[in-house]
Amino acid sequence: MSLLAVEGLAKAFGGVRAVAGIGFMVQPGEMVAIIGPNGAGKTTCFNLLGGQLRPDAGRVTFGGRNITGWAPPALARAGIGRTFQVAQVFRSMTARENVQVARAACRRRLLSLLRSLAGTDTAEADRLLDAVGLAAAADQPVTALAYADLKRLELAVALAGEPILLLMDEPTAGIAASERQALMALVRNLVAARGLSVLFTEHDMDVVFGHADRVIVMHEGALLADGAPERIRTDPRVREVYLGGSLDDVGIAAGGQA
Amino acid sequence: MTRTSIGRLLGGAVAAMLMMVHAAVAEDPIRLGDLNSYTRLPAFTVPYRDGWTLAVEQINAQGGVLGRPLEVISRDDGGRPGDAVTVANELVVRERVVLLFGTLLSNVGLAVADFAQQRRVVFIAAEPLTDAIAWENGNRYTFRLRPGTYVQAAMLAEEAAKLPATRWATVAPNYEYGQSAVAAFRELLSGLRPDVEWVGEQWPALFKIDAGTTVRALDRTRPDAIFNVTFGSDLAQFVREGRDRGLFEERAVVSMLSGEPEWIDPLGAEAPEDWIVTGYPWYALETDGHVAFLEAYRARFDDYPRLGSVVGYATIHSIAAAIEQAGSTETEALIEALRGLEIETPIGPIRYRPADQQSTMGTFVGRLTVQDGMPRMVDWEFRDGADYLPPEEEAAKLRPGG
Amino acid sequence: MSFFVAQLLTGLANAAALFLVAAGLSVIFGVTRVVNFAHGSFYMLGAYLAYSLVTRLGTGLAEFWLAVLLAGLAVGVIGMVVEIVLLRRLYRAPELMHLVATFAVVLIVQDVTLALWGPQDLLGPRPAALEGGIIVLGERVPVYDLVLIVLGPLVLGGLWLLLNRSRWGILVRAATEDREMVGALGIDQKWLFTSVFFLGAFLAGIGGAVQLPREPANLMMDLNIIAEAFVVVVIGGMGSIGGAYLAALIIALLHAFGIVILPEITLVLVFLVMAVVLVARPWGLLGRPEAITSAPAHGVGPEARWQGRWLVPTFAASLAALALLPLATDVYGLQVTTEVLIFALFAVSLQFIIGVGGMISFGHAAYLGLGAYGAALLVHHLDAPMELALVAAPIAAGVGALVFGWLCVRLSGVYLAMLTLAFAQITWSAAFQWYAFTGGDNGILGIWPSPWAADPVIYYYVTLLLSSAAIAALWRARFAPFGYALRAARDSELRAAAVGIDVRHTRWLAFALAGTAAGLGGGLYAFLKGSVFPDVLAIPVSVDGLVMLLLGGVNAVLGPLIGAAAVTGGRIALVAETELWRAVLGAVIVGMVLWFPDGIAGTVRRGFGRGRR
Repeated sequence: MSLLAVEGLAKAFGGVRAVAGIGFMVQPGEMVAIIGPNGAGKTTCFNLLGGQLRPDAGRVTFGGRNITGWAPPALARAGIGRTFQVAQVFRSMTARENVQVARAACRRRLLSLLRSLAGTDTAEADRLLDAVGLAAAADQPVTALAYADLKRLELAVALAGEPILLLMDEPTAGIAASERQALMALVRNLVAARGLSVLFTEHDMDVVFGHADRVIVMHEGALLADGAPERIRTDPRVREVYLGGSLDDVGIAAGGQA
Repeated sequence: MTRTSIGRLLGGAVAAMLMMVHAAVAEDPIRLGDLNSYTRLPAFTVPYRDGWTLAVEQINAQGGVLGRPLEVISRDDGGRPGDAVTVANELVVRERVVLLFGTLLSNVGLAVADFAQQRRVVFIAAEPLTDAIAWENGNRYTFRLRPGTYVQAAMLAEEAAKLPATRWATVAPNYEYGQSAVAAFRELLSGLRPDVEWVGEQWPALFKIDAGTTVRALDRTRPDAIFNVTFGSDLAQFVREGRDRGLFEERAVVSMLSGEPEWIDPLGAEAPEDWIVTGYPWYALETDGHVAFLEAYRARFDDYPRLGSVVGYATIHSIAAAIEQAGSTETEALIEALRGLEIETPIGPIRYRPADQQSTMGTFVGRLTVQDGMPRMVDWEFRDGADYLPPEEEAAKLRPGG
Repeated sequence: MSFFVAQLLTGLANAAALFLVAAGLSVIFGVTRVVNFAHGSFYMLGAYLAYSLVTRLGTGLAEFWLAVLLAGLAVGVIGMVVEIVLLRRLYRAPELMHLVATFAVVLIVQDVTLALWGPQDLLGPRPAALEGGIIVLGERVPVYDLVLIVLGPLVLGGLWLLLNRSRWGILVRAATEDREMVGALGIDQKWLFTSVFFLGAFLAGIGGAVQLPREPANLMMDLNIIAEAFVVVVIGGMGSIGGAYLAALIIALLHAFGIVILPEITLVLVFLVMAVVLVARPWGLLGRPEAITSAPAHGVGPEARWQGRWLVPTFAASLAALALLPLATDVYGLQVTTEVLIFALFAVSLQFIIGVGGMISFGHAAYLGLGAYGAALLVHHLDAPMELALVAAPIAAGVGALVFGWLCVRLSGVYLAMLTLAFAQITWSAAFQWYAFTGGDNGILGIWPSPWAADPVIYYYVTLLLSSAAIAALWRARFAPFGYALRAARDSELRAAAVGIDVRHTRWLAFALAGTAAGLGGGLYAFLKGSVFPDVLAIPVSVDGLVMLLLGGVNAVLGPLIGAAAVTGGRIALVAETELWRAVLGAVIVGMVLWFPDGIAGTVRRGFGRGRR
């Protein structure tokens, strides 16, 4: 049975169909990329899956449960983690506190008024920080971190929720090309170690074809292609939407823009 | 801290000026604590302060009381009952005043009265109108000088009963003073004239009257006569809008306090004519006591007195007489002296009734007119409060607090 | 029928003045995002200036309108000065700063007006041509009402032309819709904002000036109009001129007909309507929903950590010092300190919402008041002892906060602030006008402590114990997972929701918790003063709370304590020393806002940090 099944998912904004009835699946342990030119509906699709938007139509099943239209906190509790295009972290806290508060949320300890956060799950938080390579920065206020480190921190925060599926909206956006591969390799290892599934969007085609097990191509809100990276790379329709150019060229160009 | 030192600087300047008033202070003055809404309602409290200032100066010039001069420590209560209690506490504890006097707003008066009872210190509530201070919330430490809502309503109800009008409407600000005034007036007038019908009532929010619509709503009930309790900026708007809409044409209006200069003078030549009001015709009083007061007041402040001035003046004279009679400044002795105390005021003799510790100060009832561009009362008559207060034995029953 | 028409005309006339004031407020907010509390002061100054001008120029029709125009222009210039001197430096600061800074202007203008024009109400003469009435459908309608009825749409049209047909207007609209864009276009934002302030103040000044033929210029005009103007702006939609006109009409007609049907509850009615509109359509009738920004209202920087470490020792040392205080001071000093302790609790609870939660509450007095009234009503009607009343006080306030909070947490930013204000005003109106139950303005008397606690020293210890326990509990909650969740929601709502934090629930609970704590303060306050009056629920108390946070430091843990001591203690000291205490307080606030925006605790902390390095 697939972990995530999306059927006929649709969302329109004032008559513009941003996502027009799209369907796909994600299998356990799989790393799936969604690509498409700007305005293809990738981010909308992500926000529908992440609960930031409610779909107009369609059905989303996760681990056998119908999770269509669930709010983000419920999705988080069901085991869906999420990172954002622009890294979202808690700016008034240290790196460790960021992870600790996410751990507390995962363990349903948020209503606890009497214990201090500082002493809870410290070791676990430090392990997660270590796993993303931020062990040294645990006590740093996050305002002092570089942007690439914020992305790593956000990953640790997302992992703190013990997700089964991780939704990553442009995980490498805004960081230097040299650091992208390292970050994705990290994700790759975590997936393997923890048995996670990952669904991510990405502009950088090197990242996509270097790390995805499968690629889904969106165009004008609809699903254009869905298959193994090699097949997508050679699919003529995909080539066409990317202005007829070779995907590798476009990939580099798009990566340069991001 | 900076704020305090700025405060000290500015405060020092003001205090220095105030001190000059008491420059003649000899040794060991009798300290009296005054508090009133000097910043919140300056138009009404500054004449009051001038009144007591004059009295203090006159008494001290004649050698003071028990051979000691009077010294008043005066504070702003900010118009907030909670702050007033703090100020009262400071006067009692830090300034070691022998008694408290003052207040204008009913709620501030009530809060201080309650404080006075709790701390066992005498409080002369000079100006609050609410009768709760003398009756249902009355206590043995609190004495009230000015005639309250009930007495003023009774005087006006008596006049109203003489009118042919049978259909009456009322307009009053929607808070305790307005509500009690209307309740008392209705009860008393209905008692005197069972044929009276109450056809309409309006309750504009205090100082937020929507005058046009209020006037129209009153007019719609087609009353023969109107009882008005609005005052201040509400009154000015009510008069203007009412006149523009013809509300007062062919109608009698009976109005509380509207003959008092502090309330009616801002209307100038636009003051309504022929309203039956309670008030203070300082310009026409020719008794020796008042002439002397008027001259002294004008000489000292270059201004004419308001009713508040008379109240402030009479308050200090009440206190001086009480201390003189008690021979001391001890609270119990003062209470004994104040009960039944009789003194002369610029508008006649008054007595503090032992039963409810309310003074018998009266007021003037007359008709409004405009002379030389200023509102004036004509056909006025002095009404003694003693004739309108409930009998003492009845009043005593109104005081659960004894 | 004729009555209906006449009342309608009166309503339309009333709407005009309200519209002028609200339109100015709305334009200013739309462009600069400043919630201008001083707008009522501009209105009042308009009326006073018009009075002076009319009495000098004469009462002809032309002179009257000239006076109105000149008064408006003069107030416009005053508005510009306020903008240049004060607000220009605050655009990047949180909304709280705007509220508090403009409130300081209110205080200063009150004393300046009193000094210049004296205490007495000034009834302006009016042109003979505008006196009297004409008969419409058998009812007499004042000529001046008809003038105002025409004036409203005239100004609306003029503003529309100005905003849609001039380059300046297009810039203003662009800035209303997207502030960054104007900056990006390279337009001198500074002078755009200044000119907008001029226009807004000019409109308020005109609004006050045209009121002169109906209402005497008086010292209460500023605060009387401002709450209603806020209501109009919020109902109409912030930044929407058409919305302001529509809302002014609604409010004026509500008064005109409400007064006939329910003459006794008009005060509540207005705020009820605002609350309903805010809940149903938070951005107002003609406003636009604001894009959700993830920019937090407060606390962008990291929380300094030494506070956490030093908190317990500092708190313990302060407690020890306070416990020994009765040895060092008299009864009066103790009672002032008792009051400071109560307001410290009030301020800490407010900080829990504003600082930690990022929700600006503009009506926190409601919970202090609910606690005070809850205790007092229990004592008064059921003869309950102090101990029971002090248990009931936080419960009453907590329940109130649960109800109001449930609706408030659906909103954010200024809209949330306005909804909290509406609820506070509704509570205040109920206490003020429900004479039979609450004693109305005369309050509830005789709420003194039980005999064992009647001694001021004992009561001081009772207050010290209860308020420090409540403060410690709030701090504990702040550093517990719950407080972090609240902060997380403030820092990034998206992220917080995505890790499984139910943002609304968390905020709702925080609201209730803070309300409960404030309610305990209210109960203690009632027994300290011996009586409860509606003013404990009124806007100035809420503003006091904000000033305490500002003076102490919005984010500093010890800030509210320092702020409460400075404001409560400082005011009591000032009142005893000078009648100009309002102006002095206003000047102090302005100084703090401009030079020490981090508050006393924040400034000390920064100094401490530098000292260590």
